[in-house]
Amino acid sequence: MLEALLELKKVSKSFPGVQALKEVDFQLYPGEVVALCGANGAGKSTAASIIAGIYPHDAGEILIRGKPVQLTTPKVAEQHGVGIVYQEPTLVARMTVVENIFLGKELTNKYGKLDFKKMKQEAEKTLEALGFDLDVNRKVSTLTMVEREATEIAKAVLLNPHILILDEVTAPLNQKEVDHLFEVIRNLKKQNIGMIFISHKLNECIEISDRVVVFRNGENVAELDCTKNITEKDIITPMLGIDIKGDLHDVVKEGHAAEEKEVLLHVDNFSDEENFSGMSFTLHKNEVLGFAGLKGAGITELMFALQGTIPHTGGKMYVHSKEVNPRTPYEGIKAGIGMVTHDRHKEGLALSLDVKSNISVSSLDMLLTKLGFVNERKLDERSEEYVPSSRSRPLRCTSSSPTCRAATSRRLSLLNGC
Amino acid sequence: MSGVNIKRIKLIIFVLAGLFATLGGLFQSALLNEVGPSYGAGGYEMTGLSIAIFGGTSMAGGKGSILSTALAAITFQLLLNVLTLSGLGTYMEQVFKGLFLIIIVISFQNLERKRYAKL
Amino acid sequence: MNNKQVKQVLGDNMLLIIIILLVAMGALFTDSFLTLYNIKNLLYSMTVYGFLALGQSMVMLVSELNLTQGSLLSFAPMFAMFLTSKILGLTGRNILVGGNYITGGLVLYMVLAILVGMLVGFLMGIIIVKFNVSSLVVTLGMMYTLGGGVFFLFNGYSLYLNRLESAKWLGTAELFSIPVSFVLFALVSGILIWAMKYTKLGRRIYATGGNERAATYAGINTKKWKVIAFAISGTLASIAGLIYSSRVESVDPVQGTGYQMFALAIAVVGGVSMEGGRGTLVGTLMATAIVALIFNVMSLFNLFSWYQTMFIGAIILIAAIQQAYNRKSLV
Repeated sequence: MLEALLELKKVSKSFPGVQALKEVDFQLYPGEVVALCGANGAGKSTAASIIAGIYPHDAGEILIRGKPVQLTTPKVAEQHGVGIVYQEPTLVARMTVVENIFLGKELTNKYGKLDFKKMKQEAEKTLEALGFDLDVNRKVSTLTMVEREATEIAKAVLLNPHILILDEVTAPLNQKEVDHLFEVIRNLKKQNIGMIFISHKLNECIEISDRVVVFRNGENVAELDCTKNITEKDIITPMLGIDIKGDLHDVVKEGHAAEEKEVLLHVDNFSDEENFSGMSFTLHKNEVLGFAGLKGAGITELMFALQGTIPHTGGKMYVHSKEVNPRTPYEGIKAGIGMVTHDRHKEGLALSLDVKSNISVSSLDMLLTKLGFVNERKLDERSEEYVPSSRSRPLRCTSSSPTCRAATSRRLSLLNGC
Repeated sequence: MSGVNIKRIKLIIFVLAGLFATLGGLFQSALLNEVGPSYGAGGYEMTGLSIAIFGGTSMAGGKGSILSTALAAITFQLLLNVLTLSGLGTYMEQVFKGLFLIIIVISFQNLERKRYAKL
Repeated sequence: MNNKQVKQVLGDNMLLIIIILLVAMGALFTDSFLTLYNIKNLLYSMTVYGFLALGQSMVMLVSELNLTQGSLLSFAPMFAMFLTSKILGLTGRNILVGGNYITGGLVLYMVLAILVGMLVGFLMGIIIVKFNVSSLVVTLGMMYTLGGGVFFLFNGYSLYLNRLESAKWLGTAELFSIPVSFVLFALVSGILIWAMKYTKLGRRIYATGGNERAATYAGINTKKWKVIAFAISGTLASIAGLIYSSRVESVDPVQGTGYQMFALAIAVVGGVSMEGGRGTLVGTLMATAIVALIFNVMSLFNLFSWYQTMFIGAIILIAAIQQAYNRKSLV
């Protein structure tokens, strides 16, 4: 029986207000790729952070090659052979690729002076071994997403870790780049490196990994063997904890009763100078219209333009058959278009205010009493309606689900003419 | 993105700030029966900042209230007055302002942290 | 060269161009600019402002602020003198004559002053990182504390050094007509710049300021490096204080008031961003030259000090707008 590279025994971790991991058991063997799947908040990133030494665990044991270890800091984890590519970018934008790869582990000559030449060589060697072609003297701020991802990976494998954690590394990549990355992963497998592959793209998990471990609510709820022809549904079921009857696709089709539908939004030949052009589509009542595309394809920009955050140069927009031309988000909202952005924390919410205050932000006009003061009672009713049992504490301390809801309800409350 | 006109609000705030500063200046000249170019000098901007922080206004933005700032101003002056009357000397006023500021801001940080931990 | 390239070259070397323009202005429009006496004055003011600005830059590079640079200019020498007289008094030697005249203890005083500066900086750094509080507020409070505290040491009186011959050396001695203080400044800034570029110090500081999270995940102890930045700025401020006092042959409790604003202005003009991780010490040096030149030229034109302050204010505004503009086009 092969010795486990990494083993978590009944590991628990809690943050103020939420139990992130509950007595989790987990093993990783040399030369295998284990996919870690779970919904948002299930504990995947927490587990990864603990293994990488970012936080200490509260209870349980962590063993590396059979020896119990205390992974107190990232450096300690590094010394034990753990490498990690984080979900959020961990690069210093104003520094170069080579400086970022060697961040914290710079090479010096015997007098303490930085050995630039050697670092450059090593960085180039590492990138080449991974199959990436990159000028290491470029500043990170000038790189594309793929190149930044490559830098992060090079940074993680620099010290030849035995355990490599890849947290959502495929997110910014297109299919060709993902294939290339999988080649890299297979090469690393041959070197007996054990990898934890965290991704929400279930098809990728099935393709590249040997096993799939599913987390739900901080617990390890299922372990699937990829050699046994598993499907996405096999992963989703334990992930969500519910049984999806029938085929996945059937669930989606139910909402599509083809009746006479009212047209809410009609967009005709919408374009702006650089990001998108000739966009035409129609949105009906009670319909969810999905837009798919790579980063940089222009979707985000299109949405921002529809709402009025950025200007458009051509085309027309009709809401309820009336032409509108929002030039600021305020006008967009007045026209009935609300937007919940991707980066909710930065762009959607005031984190130090509570749920009530956040929801009222856009619709304050409609919550006033005759004298112009805020109608507190009405505000309470509304916020209870949208985000039930929200206590009045700062949003910073709540988990992701109430914050999502708060951002959405902010827009909804306004649009409902509340 | 939520429809709030940020630029307009910031502009209004700065105008109000200027207005209040001017009011303060008017009061001061009434008190001293004099106006002069160096009357604004004595580090008043820092004192104003200190009082605002003492009243719990966060420098990161988004937190604070007019009421607490007003209360802080009154408290601060009272403490200063007590200090002067106790005969400790004018130099002590500055030292007091400084130490007080540091202690207050440290305590606030600790209070915040404890409040989050309790939840 | 087309228009865009010209703009590029101008933008990259903006500071140098301004220096050249100022020197030209001074040389052409006044007859006393190019005299040895004036140049020495210029170098001397560059030294004092320069030390303060370098210290401020180090702190700004780790995304913090230090408002005590000015008050340390008086506190460090004063407190050092206080300690010196007390320590030497224990051995029976009284260096305080006629109430205010210092007659000895020079070496001890100088060593202690530097230590005091380092300790004050260190202390502030510790408070800021340990309690996770805003550096603006802590250094503001410390500025008041030091500014007021300095009066307690000698009951508000200034100390005179003119009876101590060797005290004049640091501020007035010359090496081939170049003031020794400037040589010292050149030496210290040279060492600092070298260290920032060629040793781990620079990498750590820029990482801590550039992306604190990335630095922490890379295993860098950002708290340690912030404290180090503060300690360095305190040390540099105390050296500036020693030079200043030596030149005017006295230690005044109010010397250096308002200087932290100049230090901040110089750092900003030199390209150091308040967000951290951006800017170079070389830029700060050039900005020091610019500000010193402006003061110098303005006084040669007989413009009074409030014109100078206004001018500095205008420069800060322009530099801030420029930085915002740069940021938009970069990211």
